[in-house]
Amino acid sequence: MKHNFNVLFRTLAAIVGGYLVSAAFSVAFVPVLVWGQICEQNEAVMVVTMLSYIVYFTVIILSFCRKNIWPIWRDIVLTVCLCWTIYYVLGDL
Amino acid sequence: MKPDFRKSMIWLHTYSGLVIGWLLFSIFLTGTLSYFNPEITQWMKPELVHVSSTQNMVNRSLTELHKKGVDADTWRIYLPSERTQLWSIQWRKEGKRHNLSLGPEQGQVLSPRASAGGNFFRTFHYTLQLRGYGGRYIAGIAAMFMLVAVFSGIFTHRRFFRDFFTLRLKKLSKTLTEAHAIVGVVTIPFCIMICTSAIMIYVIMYMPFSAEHYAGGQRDLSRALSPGLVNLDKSASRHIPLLDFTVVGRQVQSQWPGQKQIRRITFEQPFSQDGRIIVERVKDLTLSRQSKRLIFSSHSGEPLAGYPNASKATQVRRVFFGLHEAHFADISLRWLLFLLGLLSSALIATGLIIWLNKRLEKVKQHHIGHFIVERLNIAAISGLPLTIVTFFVGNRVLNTALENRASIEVDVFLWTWLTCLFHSFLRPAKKAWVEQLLITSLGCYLLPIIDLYQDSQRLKNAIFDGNLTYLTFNLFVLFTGLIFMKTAFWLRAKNTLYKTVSLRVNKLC
Repeated sequence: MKHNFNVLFRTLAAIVGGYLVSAAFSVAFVPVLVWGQICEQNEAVMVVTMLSYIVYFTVIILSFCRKNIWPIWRDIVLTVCLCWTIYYVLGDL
Repeated sequence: MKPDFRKSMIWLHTYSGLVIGWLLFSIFLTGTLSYFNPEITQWMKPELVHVSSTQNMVNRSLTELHKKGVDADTWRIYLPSERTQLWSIQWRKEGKRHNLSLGPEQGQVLSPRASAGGNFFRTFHYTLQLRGYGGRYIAGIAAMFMLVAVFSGIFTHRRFFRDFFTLRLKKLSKTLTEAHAIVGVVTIPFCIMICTSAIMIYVIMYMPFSAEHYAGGQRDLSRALSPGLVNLDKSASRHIPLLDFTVVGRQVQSQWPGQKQIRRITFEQPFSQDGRIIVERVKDLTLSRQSKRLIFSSHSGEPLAGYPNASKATQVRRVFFGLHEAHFADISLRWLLFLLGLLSSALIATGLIIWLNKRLEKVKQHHIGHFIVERLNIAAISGLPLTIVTFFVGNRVLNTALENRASIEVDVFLWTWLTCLFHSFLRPAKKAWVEQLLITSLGCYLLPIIDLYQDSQRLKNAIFDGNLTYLTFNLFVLFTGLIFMKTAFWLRAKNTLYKTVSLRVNKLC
């Protein structure tokens, strides 16, 4: 039973958590690219959305290879918060 | 779940592969076939005859369009290429599209049979016949699973090179495991390229939040990143479009030297003063999905301003798209990609069989889950090839005068597959495998015979005209039949070595 829950929470972290993190990343890092004058906004949207799949992939792998479950979820929540802060600070520029 | 990195990767490989393996197998196999999409269409529409000269082809199309498409909104001319004999014109009037295939004789109009063609495999492999019901999302999820399975698979084989040089043929389960390892190493780059580019095709659709937040949606974003031409004014004064294309043809020739450079010619608002001609180059010269385009006025043939440059990000995405579709590949590279596609399908198939075999060797009490996995393995791995062959047989056997013939062909495909699934559940496992493999090979042998019986002229023409597409298709089908028959006999001879699921009856209910 314990094993089943372990697998369930890891799978959820990988699929749902990973999608949340990469979606947050795809929104938050657009202002970063614009602020750093790397490219203009529309192009930044395309670039960051493409890169967000790498983030998704990393979260999937990490959620299956870390020792405990709770740090995985903690990091997912922290990353989403970090993205939100970046967006909040840089979004209005 | 074990904390060790390698062990957790093995676990991930095992289950990410199992969960979606049958779907992946179907997507990979049909996708592999669509490398030869125009060639398969060519075979499925034998009425399309060889058009040898490119001289005057455009002008003949224009004459037809002047007769049939008066006051149409767009005209289109599709020219035959090295890969397809399809020469057709299309005109759109009041939102309705009309198509016509042209033949080599003056004024000759062909009426090829209505057929789903090779394009069916292409559409099926990314929509699963579920377009509008989330089919493309399912395909995207499958691509992500495959990436995870490939990545974790790399860590499963620690002895990368020793595994590569070992293949023992005596015991079935050993043979499969070692074949899986070898094929896995060979196809890693191909699988990563295919899955990444597959995701990149619908990159914004799967992750739409950023585009919706900043650009107001996918369409607005792509319009901003790759701007189109100015909108045409329909009410501009009336002009008769070009009758003789040589004015434009000469300019195109000077920009794109060489034979058969034009893939498609589009006339937008041909009867308006602002009307324009968009000439598209063939796709085999660029990695990108979008080939080069030139713009001319539709009545004077003078060059107009071309498309504005697309942004870098869009160009990168188009290259991913182009890599996936592989229009750039010449015939030898195309066969190599086709072979890699087949190997990847085999990789998935062997993986599925190994999963079951390993569990059957370990556990004594068989579980209903093992039973279902076994049956789905049969229905996917031997059922899908059988279904594909039936689809081809259906193309030849169905009456050419049937209404909605193309969609009936697709129905034949889907019903045959369902029958395979039922068959695999009703028969003992090993018999189901052998029977489906044998029927597939029988179908492969029947196909050229039916063709010869229906119209022996086709084969003669193909030999005398050097129609390699037709000949290669038939030879390949015969070869496939041979391989399936060999596999079936080999499997039947292996009495004790292949384990099957035995369930007690009360367990099933």
